[in-house]
Amino acid sequence: MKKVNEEYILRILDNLQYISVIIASLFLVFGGVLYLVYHGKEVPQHIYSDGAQEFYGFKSIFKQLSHEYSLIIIQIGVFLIIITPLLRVLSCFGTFVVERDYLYMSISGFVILTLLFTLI
Amino acid sequence: MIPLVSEIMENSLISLILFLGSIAAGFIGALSGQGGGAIIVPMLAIGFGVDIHYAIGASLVAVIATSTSASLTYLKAGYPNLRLGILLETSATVGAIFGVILGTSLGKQTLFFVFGMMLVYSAFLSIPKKDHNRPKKPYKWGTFFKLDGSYPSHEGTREYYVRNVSFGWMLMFVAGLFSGLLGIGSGALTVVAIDKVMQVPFRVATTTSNFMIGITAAASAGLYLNYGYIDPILVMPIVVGTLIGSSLGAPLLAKMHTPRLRIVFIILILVLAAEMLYNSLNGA
Repeated sequence: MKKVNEEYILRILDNLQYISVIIASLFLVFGGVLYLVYHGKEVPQHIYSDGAQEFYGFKSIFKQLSHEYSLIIIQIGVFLIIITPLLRVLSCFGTFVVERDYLYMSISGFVILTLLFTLI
Repeated sequence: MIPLVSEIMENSLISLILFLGSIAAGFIGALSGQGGGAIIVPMLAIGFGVDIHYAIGASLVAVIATSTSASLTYLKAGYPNLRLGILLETSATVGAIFGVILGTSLGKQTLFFVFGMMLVYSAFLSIPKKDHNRPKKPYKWGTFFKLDGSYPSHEGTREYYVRNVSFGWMLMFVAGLFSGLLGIGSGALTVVAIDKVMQVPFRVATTTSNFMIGITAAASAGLYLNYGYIDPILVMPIVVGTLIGSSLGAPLLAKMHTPRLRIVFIILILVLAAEMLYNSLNGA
């Protein structure tokens, strides 16, 4: 059996945490901007008064999600799958930048623009 | 053929049937070398009576997911030629855009017919053949685009040169077009462009093709998503099922040394092709 390298696993976990924090912040920013676009003019009364709101509890979040947003969550997953190849091309672009390969920076740049065109 | 999914069925039952069907589709797709898309679209459109545009949309997402999970393993082995892949993607993604525009404007019957013909052609292409002589010296465009490379083999690292770059590049436009038009990975056509036309070693050609399939399919899928043809209820069981099926099939393919078993699966593809052609002529 192969001996497990602890340091290696720790590094992977580190990276995973890093990635999950970034993804989570993206969700917050995305949701926040979306909320403000449609509800930006409303006044948040409840933050000035006493009493907790049941609305935002853990159980309540899942219940509401399943009511209204379950299909949206699937579509977010679909969206993430569709942009994975874009990330693949972006990482190639990054490699070419490091190598200062201007020819391939423009070639992969073209592919990135084409993919963005189809997504937007 | 009577559709297996009818309009009075509950969501959970439809999901279960689609899930099991997609496991089979992913498995057969991997073993026949055609990828899941070639099986999923006929399965949905004929077997389950789903509108072919929704079938294509769901298939594209499954194609991206399987190609991503497969190419991660190959990338580490050092086979795929990334420069070649990216260069060919400039024409494949543009071809895919044209394919989607064409596909969403064509009628059902025409799509069934084109799909059937494509299946016949790619089944014919995937009959295993003997390896041919590889170029021994570099070519002008291959050198200009820095495409020549090397790959690990049993006898150490092997060098190779890339020829017919412009023809291969144009052929990839066609491969992209079919990917967008039919919702398949176009793996068979891509391998032809890289292996037969550009004369890159087969191992490098198949892995580079795998690296590319997801990118081409993403261009098509992005447009399909915006057109509203990617339905979450359909996509969920199909993507998960295809991923499971193809990850069961892929290791089997690597162990399978007899071409005979492969021919069985190619015949299966031909049966599907016949079914598609029959439906296109009889008003599906």
